[in-house]
Amino acid sequence: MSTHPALPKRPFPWMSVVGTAITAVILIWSVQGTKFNLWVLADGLPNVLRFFKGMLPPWPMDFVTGQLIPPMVETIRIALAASMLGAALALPVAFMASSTVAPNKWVYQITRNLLNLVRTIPDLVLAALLASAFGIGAFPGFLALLVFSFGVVAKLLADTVETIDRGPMDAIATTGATRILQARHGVFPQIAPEFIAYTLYAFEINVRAATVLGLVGAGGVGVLLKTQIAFLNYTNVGIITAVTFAVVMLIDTLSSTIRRRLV
Amino acid sequence: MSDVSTGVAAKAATLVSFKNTSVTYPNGFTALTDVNLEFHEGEFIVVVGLSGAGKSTLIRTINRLVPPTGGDVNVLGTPIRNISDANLRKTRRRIGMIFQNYNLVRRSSVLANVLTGRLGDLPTWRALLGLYTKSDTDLAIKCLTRVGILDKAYNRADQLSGGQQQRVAIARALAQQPRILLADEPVASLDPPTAHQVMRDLKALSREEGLLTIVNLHFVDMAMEYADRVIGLHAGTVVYDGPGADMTEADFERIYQRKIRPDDMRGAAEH
Repeated sequence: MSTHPALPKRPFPWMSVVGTAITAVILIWSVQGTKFNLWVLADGLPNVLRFFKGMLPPWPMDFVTGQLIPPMVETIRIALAASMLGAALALPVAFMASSTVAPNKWVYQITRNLLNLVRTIPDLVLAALLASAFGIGAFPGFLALLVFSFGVVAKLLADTVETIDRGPMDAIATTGATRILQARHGVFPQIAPEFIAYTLYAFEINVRAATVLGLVGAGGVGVLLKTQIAFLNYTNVGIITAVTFAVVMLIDTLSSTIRRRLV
Repeated sequence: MSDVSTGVAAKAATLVSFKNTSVTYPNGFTALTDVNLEFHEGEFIVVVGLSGAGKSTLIRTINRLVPPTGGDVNVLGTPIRNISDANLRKTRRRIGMIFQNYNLVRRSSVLANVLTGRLGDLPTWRALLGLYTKSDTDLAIKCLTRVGILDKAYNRADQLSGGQQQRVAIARALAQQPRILLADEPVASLDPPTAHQVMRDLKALSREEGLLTIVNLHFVDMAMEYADRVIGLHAGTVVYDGPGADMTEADFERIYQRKIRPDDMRGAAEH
């Protein structure tokens, strides 16, 4: 045991030392930027507690039924419409953005790049832009989420189409059917479950997004949330948060259960 | 056409004629060199040769899955080398094709798969919506009855055995109401008894419907057993063209460039 040969001299770990130092500097610099302060944290704590107390029943039911339910329903309708129509628009584009079905590499490249571009636009920024163009309300929110759903579903679906079995498409091509019909009858049946699953996935994200869209004036429950925060009405803010949380959870659970059964 | 051995075909119409046809792939590989052949209505033709001899290319040139790069092929009265897309689709409607891997839409029902054979003849809007007419469905049912699997019409294609899936593929091709049936290694994925069953089905169809049928096979004994006429290919040229029964040892060796071996036979002895 004690007679093993000596290890060679350990080289000084420059990389780790320098790396740790750089990380530490970046961390300190960035936290300073957030104006982090323990005293401010402590001062705000009672507000947070009041907010959580507001979440607890008894709730002022006239606020819930009169003011909360209608925009909540509007939020869900925005999310539903945006995901379904966005997905419908995404379907043909997904075919064009996959090398298996695209008629040539130009169509493929152009649609791919277009989809990448669409997905780089943050939905809140888009919603704010659209709200300033089309006025405040549900419509700009719907448009923003439509673009978002379109981007997500088209990208995911295009990647799925890349992995399909080309055989049925070839077989249908030899019957004299056009490329669109090959995609419709040879490819679509192969990806239909994924298509529905991605639409549901977009819907889940849209419900969450639609609740905050109101903050930039784009309709839904977020508008109410914004005014209640502005009036420092923490009880109502608490109720809105609790109900939103419950609705999002419910939809997420339902939707992901269906998705798991599909694929 | 002067071939006396194919008595039936001699008077029958010429459906496919290769005229000095050559095929060179984009990668530079020459698969067919100066092929001259005529195929007639009702003929049952088996193409044999080693892998890479050009069997698949020969078949796929007929429906232009592979375009000829030299000479031309006349298919159902149309030269196909410089054919327009629209005319190609029109020509393809009357050419059924079956594949080694069946190429069915696995998640779709058997009936839905057979109906895709009708797409070429439907107006675009109907085809897009999948609104087949009553006569399309009737025809699909007839085709499924013809191959003996009508009872599986509403099963998903992937629930069927290999032999049954190949029969669905045959029904799909029949639903096109074709004049030519191409079969690219149709029995290569099947066990010997099933392989023989599929070959018997193809042969019977050819007889009864007057279909020109061209089948690629790897196995010489099967070729001899079923073919009216055997085409032997070696390195992209036709080295044998005649009745299967007349093939001699020397003909085999010209096609395979070696003595015949047991693994060139599918064999009836295995079952």
